[in-house]
Amino acid sequence: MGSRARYAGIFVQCVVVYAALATVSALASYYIYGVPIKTLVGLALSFGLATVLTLAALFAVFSRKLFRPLKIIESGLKIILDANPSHRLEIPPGHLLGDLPESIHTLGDSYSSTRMEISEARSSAEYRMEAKKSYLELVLGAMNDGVIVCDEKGSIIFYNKAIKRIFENNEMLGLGRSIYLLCARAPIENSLRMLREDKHGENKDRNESAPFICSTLHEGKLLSTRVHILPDMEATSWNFMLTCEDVSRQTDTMRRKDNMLRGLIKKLKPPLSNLDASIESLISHPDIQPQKRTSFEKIMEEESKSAIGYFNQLAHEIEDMSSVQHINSDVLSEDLIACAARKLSQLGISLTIVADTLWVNADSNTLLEIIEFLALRIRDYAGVSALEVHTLLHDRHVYFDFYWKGAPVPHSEIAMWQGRKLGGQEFLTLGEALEQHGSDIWSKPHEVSGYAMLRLPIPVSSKQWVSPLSNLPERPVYDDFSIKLCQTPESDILDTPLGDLSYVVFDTETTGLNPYEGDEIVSISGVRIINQGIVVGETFDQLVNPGRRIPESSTRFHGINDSMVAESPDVHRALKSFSRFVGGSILVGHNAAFDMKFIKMKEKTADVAFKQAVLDTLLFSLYLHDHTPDHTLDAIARRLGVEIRDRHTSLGDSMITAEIFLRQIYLLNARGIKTLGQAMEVLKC
Amino acid sequence: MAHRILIVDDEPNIVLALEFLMQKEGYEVRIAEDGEIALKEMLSFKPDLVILDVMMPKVDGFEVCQRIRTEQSNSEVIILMLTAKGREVEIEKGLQMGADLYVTKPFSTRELVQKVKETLTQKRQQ
Repeated sequence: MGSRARYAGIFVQCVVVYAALATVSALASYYIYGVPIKTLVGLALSFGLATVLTLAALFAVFSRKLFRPLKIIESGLKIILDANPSHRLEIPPGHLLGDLPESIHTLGDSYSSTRMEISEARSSAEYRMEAKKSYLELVLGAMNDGVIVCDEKGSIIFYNKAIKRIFENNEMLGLGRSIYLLCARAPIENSLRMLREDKHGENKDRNESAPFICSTLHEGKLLSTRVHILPDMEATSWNFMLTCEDVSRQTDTMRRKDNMLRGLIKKLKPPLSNLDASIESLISHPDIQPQKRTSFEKIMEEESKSAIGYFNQLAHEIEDMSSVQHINSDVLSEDLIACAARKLSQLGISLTIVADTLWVNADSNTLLEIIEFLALRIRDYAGVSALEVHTLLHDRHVYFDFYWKGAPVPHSEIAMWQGRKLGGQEFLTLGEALEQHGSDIWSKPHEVSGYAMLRLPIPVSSKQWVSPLSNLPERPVYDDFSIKLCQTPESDILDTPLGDLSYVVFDTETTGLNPYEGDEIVSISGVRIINQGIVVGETFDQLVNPGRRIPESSTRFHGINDSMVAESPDVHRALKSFSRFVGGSILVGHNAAFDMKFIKMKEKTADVAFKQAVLDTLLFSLYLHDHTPDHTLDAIARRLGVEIRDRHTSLGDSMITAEIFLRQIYLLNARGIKTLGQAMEVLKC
Repeated sequence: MAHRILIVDDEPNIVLALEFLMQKEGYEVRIAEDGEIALKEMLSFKPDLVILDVMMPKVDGFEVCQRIRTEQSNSEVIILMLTAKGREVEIEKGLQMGADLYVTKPFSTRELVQKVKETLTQKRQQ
């Protein structure tokens, strides 16, 4: 409308200018040239009419062919910029803008494709990063060495599966928890200090400490550890990383062996020196008295026997221990032979396997080569291409017996084989490989006439006697790099934003509703939240023996009966365990007051104290959704779009409550409740 | 008739002691320093009992043992094996190769002689 007024204004101005000019020239004509007025008026009027009509026509034409298209372009550009870059201007044809619309379309298309390129580039970069991250996670997860990354203060930011294995049942392992709850503090801090001090000295590029032995506080394990300092992106704080290997078994074995050796050597000294003394005496005094001679001889006999005794002990112990020191591992005999059979069939030898599930302790690679080597040699010597391999369990060895139709291999031939190098090895002969396993081979006729055998004994593995552990697939790594490093000290906790705190969302199941009338806890579970995310893989779920009968009515509710809790720990041990899991995190529960009643009653006797804040999702729901009376867990879950799974199991309910709580944090923030202090105020009303 | 004992060992010191003790017991004793000589002596001397050391150059004790049992007609000879390693596997191998007895070094020579006496007496009684 504004432009119309403008154009109208311009039109009026033209008319006024024309009128003025017309009047001036009329007056001039009249006075200078004496043109009669009538003519002048007639001329003026006709010219005026003609001009007005022309102007009006022009105005109409421009309006349709110029002004309106320009208006369309004006609004069209807005659409192109804000909503739809491929928008086509809806200009009717016959306009005077020439190529302008086309140029605008081209500009719009180019703008659109640029935006798409940028967004594609960003998402493919994100995708590549994500792919890289997943790959790194896999690599770290597969590592045998444990890797833990901590912030300056020692709070754990990251750890991998190997660490989880080392600290298998330790509830104190968790993101955001201190590493000093798990390992001895002194060696780590000393190494850190040395590395940091180095930064100012000559070794300032050194980021990695020498290895040291760090002991775990609860498992009694020894870890060969290295400390690495990692500057953060701005190099303002120095996080550190520990890489560790569990060397408890090796250390233990080495220590025992050392002690044993030292002990035996000490015991050997006296008999040998006594022997020496007596012999020397006798030699230097050939005419010694017969009585004296007899005494010396007696001494020599005794001490000689002693020395031999200790020596045999020494030899025996060393023999036992040295076969453990090599890079031996536990391997299934049938797996090994099957692998050898596959390779041998390519060389034209068929290996039939008759094997039991027998575990051996061996250098699997070398053993594989021994088997292949022997099969080939037997083929060459006996001229057979079909062999059978049986595995038999003897006292401390598994016998790999090779059977074939033909003559046994004489020992002279076997002796020659022992001097030959194994297949893939550059420097290992059969003899050395057998030595490595404390083994030897021999061949003799089979009981079945016409057949021969060759026996290869390999040490049996202790795994033979142990039942297999179930290996559940797990996360390869546990990390949260977005944890705020250097968390705020306790005194400021009330001012901390809700999203920055760590929580444990918990739930208990009980025998009934009255803690003061004898009802007890039968299950406790907890879910950890860090940085507004549930930490998958760090949960607590413990059945509790309540020390009394569980009534039918409550079993119907939570599914826990007396037989399920028969072997479970009592509430004191369970609470102690739970307390370790929680640490200093804030507790969150649905109708937490109910659960806390039960817990508080046992605090003294269990020697735990939950001093931290306790938040209640039920009370938050009442505050946030006061328009509705329905605040059951199911209703709130539905309202906030939380999937309901495993309802009425302790862990299931904890999970649902945790998801609800995460959403409530957002809703509370929107209502201005941003810090812990403010949240606690809400709970008070 | 005195029993004949063949001692096969490449270590002269122990051989000396054994020879002395065996002769004292009234046995006829011959010595072989290595496996080849031993096999020859088996045929010519025809001993009743062979004391055989495993660790020997050229032809080791296992081979001698196996060959005595398989090649030679005098497979009734008692073979007593001596060794320095004493590993379970080694002992079993020796017995499987045909040894009757097995003694680990270091051992008491007197006990060894005692064992020899017992075994030979048993054999005589059979």
